[in-house]
Amino acid sequence: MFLELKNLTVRFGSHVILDRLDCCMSGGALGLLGPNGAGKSTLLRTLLGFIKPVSGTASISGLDIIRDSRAIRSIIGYMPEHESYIHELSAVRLLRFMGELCGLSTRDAMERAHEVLFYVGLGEERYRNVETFSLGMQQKVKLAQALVHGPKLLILDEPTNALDPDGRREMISLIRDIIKNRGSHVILCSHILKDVEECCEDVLVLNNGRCIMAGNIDKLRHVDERVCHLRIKGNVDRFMSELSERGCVCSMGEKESIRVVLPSKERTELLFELAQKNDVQLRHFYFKRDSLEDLFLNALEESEKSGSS
Amino acid sequence: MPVYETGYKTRDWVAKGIFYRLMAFSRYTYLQLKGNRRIHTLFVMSWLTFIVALALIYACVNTKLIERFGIPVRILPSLNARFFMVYLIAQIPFVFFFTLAVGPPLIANDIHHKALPMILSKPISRWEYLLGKFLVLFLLLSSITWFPGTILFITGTLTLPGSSNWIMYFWSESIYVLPALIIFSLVVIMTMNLVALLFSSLTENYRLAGVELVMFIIGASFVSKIAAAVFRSRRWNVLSPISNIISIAESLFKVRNTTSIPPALAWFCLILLWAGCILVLSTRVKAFHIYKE
Repeated sequence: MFLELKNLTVRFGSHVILDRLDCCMSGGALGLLGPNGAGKSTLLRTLLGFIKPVSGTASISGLDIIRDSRAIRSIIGYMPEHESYIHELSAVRLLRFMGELCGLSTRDAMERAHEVLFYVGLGEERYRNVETFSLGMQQKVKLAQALVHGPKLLILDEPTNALDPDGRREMISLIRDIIKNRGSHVILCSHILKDVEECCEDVLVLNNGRCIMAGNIDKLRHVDERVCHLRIKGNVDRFMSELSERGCVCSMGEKESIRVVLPSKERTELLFELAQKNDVQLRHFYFKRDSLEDLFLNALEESEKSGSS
Repeated sequence: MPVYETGYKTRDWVAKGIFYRLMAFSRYTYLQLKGNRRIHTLFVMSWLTFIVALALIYACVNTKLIERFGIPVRILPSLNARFFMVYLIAQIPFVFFFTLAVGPPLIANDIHHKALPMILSKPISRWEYLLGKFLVLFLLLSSITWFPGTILFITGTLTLPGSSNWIMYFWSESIYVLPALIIFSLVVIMTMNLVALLFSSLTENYRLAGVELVMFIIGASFVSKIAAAVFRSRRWNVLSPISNIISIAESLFKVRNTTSIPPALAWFCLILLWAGCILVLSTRVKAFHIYKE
């Protein structure tokens, strides 16, 4: 297992921030979700060794977060949530400095700084002072400094915070590339479910310091066989009115698809029968699957219910 | 291969030792200071005293040359422990101004720009971060205190009036000056450095940290003088770190105590000050602060 949490508990005074967390991640990309105050950032800080757990353990790549804190930090790249830079340093110098702090020689650190800045798209701006950068560029510098020593695990805390749609798209494509082509594992902490959905295979949802859902996103998604999406060729209006007569609730969905909710007594064969009867071609047919948002909201709802009961 | 033809990729490398990594703090601070004219001027001025001291040593061992210019030899200082002590005490204002120029932004800027989580996520601990920051001023202040002081001492002893047994004379009479010179310099550097780091860690604004540093060093001397005048006792000088430093200097160089502070008390006060600074620094320099209910 690449990441393993065992009964991990973090407490500040009497306040429990992380409550007996258990989770395993074999590698790839893990999305960390949860409402504000759920304990996401505390979990990341605990993994980085900034906060000591009161009980339980966690390990990254077989290294214990308390005993091997320094070794862990040498294989981790951390992109903090808030703006973070060093006064009056250019992007290339900042990265070189960060590389040297990781133990790279000056020559290697300089080479890597250039490489990484070109990779994140700041090659032309690399000699500019980071303070003069826009927010989007600063986000890229933060990502670059996390990458400079070639970490095995990248911890990204809200990487798309305050980015415009173009900036967000660029950042997401960079993260996807890092996961797919650069051989790094990623823990992505975000409020934006779409970011996690686009980048991650696994998800860990926290609420009030507890793990309320964990696992592979695809496996967690529930398929609802009573709600289906169709795309047809033929007389759409007639087909929809026939479906309505048989008790189905129809509406036009995205990209000219028809969303059909079958009544409880009917089965999906009805759709094929009516299509044949009306001489309509069924070009696409798929059942509704839960989105990550559905999963997240359902998990939160269940957690609230169990908490109140 | 040009850098623009290489893409980012993870690769294995051998990490350098911790000292190399800590020196990165000094390297980058000096890079930032490289274009600072005030620092350059201050540095040149701080070495002017060295030139003057060197000229005095030359004059002391070439009295005939001085007499030829009609300058009375008796106005020249003696080449003894006091000479080196006075040289180092003359360096204290430069040490103070260097500390004032370089010290306050060291931690304050990192706190202001929220760089601590980013830096401490690299494989260095909080203590190593503090040591790295300490080294920035330590190396700079060393270059104007014990380093030129040692050169002066070596020059002075090598040019002493020759006699067949001058080496014996040197060993018996002056050897304590060298450790005194180094220990005194370290005491000055340690005190200024820790106080500067302390105030730098207490605020996000380096200018405010600078004001606090001035208030502490100058203000404490001022208060001690007032207290000494009001209570008619020079023991109140103990409130001033500078007076404590001078008391230690006088004991190390074996000259008459002018501060009325017993050396043991002066050591105790300074060690207490250093411990206090380290204690506060250990609580202030953290990647994240936890506010307990």
